[in-house]
Amino acid sequence: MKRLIGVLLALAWVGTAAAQGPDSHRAPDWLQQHGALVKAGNPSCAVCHAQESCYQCHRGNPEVADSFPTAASGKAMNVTVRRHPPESHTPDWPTKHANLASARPEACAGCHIRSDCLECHRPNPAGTAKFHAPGFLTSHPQQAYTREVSCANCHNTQQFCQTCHLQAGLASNAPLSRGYHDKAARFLGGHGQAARQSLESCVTCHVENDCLACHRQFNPHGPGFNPGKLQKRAEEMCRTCHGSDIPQASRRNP
Amino acid sequence: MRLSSVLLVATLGALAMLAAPLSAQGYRVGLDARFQSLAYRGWHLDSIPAAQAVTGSDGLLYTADGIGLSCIAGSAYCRYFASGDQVRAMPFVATADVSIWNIGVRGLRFEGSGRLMSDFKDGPAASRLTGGSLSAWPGTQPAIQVLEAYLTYAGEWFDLKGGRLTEMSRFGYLGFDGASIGAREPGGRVGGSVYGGWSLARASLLSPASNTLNPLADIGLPQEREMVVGGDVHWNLRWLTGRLLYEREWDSSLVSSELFGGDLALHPHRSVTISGGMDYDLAYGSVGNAEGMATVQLPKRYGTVAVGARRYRPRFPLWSIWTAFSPVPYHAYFAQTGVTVLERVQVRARIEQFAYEETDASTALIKVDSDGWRYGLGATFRRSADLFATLDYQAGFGPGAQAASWDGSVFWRPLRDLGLRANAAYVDRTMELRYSDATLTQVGLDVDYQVMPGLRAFGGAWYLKENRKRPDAAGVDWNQVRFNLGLRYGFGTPVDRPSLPPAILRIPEGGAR
Repeated sequence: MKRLIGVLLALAWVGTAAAQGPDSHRAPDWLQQHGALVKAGNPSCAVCHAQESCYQCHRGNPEVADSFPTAASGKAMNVTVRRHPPESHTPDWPTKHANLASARPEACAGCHIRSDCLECHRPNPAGTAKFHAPGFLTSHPQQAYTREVSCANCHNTQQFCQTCHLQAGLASNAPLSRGYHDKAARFLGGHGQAARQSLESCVTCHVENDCLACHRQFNPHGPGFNPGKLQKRAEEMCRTCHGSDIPQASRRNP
Repeated sequence: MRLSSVLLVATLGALAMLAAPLSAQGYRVGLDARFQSLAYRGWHLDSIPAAQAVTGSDGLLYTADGIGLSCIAGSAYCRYFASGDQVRAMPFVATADVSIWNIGVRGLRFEGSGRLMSDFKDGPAASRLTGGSLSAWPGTQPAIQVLEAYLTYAGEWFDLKGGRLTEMSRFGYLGFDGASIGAREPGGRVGGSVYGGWSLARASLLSPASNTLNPLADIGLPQEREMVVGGDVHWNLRWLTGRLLYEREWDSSLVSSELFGGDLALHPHRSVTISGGMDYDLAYGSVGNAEGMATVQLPKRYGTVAVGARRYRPRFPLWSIWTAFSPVPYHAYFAQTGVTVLERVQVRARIEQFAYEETDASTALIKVDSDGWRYGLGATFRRSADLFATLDYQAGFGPGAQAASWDGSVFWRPLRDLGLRANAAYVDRTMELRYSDATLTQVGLDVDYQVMPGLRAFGGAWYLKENRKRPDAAGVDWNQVRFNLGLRYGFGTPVDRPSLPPAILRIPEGGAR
């Protein structure tokens, strides 16, 4: 009886150890390094892992499991792989992944497929927001004004912002007057700094004519304005105010 | 019955009819249908004769029922924002993802993704203002939207694509109707691609000349559809991966955008990643956005620590006048960490400071902040994969507005096929240039149920209560109960991997082998 208990205990220990995986699997960079071992044809992987083990993560490139036996063949244990994201995928990863995803999209494709990208980058109007935190609609003026992330990466700001602001009565649809920016009594006279800091927010409610009503006379050009460059690329923009009498672009700030 | 609803039924029927002839090929179809119902009350600009204005105890002018007035000296009328119409929105979106392979030529396949959508309510405010019908919820027009639809041929060292394509890069999301060709050396270490065609508006599936993209009837839209050409070179070396990109959009009268940029990722040590990117606006003649970040992975999977800097400059197409108004960039510095402090508890923190460049437009008339900072703290307690909770606090201070928010959630999977998530959030927001301080409390419950293999049903309900703390009686009413429902179903060629999730089965090569 004691021998039987001893054997059972030993089996339980072995089972527990196996469930945790070998020591190599606990290395911090195991996720990054295991592919090289597989490519090198390490036969020990296939003792525990079947193709189905790999598919738990490798959704986008199942061919990486070609050298493994299938679970149905009975040649591998087909251990369950607990799928977890790499260390880089911290909670704010959605706002920080751009450079790495662009520099090495193959790394993303190890687990992700294209519809994963479109899920956020082509927002579904009938879907609940997953990228933004709950309550975002109320807090969005602050985040949009300072562009904590670029709204335009996923939203067409003309359609998305203007449509909603128009429906809510926020969009300018009458001659400009004091009223909306009511915490600053002389907003119209001093709006320049706010406008240059967050012009993208202004144009979610205002159209070009709102600004041109005054700025056809008052020079709107500021730091970094390069008239020669702009005239060369888009002379029509200059003509909006200057007509055919466009000043010579010899100075950076005419 | 709206036209979009008829089209939806017709398309679903067509897909069902196509299923039989397609049986000789390999195919996968994913269908996703979602519906949402919400409502709010906005503003309505109104006026009264100046003689009817009432002076309040604070010396300011109000309507008789206490709404703040804006009166210009000498004007016979005063304007104010009164409560507007109730806006109800019921957006419905059906998405179909289709992959077809084994269509006669090895390596040739078709990929398509499209949406049928409708808002079952028209926006009354916009209808009144524009004299037409504009959906209450943004993004639901036009009724049929093709995200992608292309034939692709994959060879040993190259691939060709033609149809409606999309490019997602640091320049943004851009769709176009055209073609692309990509090539790579056999080891996959170096490659490149070139694409071109007739472009769609940024982050949209419509031409920039479309009226749907112009709800405010602006004057400066392009008159014709633009062309786009672009390309990239990328490399994937042991320590250094990267990509250089170029893209130009133009029409017969102007170049609306021309950009050059790149992204890099450097791995000097197995625990260290340095990543970053930058773009240069060739049309405007200025550096655009740039960012860099160094990330260190702590030993034994304790977590990560990262520091970085970034620059953000707004970018407008040159068919609008906005670039001539000289929007200025801001520069930001940030640090963030996510650390496992106990076996089941992970905490995270982030802080960022930012400051705008000089605008040369500040005046003594109003004070506008030019710098600010924001931070966030959070924690996740993970009892198991079937039970975990999160709690986060975020705050932002500086130009435009300030906001502080709490949000938390508890996820529980009581049954193998049933997931429940309870959420709650609280936001306290202050505006810089407008009396529109508000608090918002919201609670919700989301349910996700696997009805059968391949078929998922999900839905949720939210209660939102907003308190506008204006000094007068005017205010948006955002209080509401909000519902959403959805179904996702995948079907296609039977494969020998029935245990795979639908996402894998959508991969033609994976499923066919």
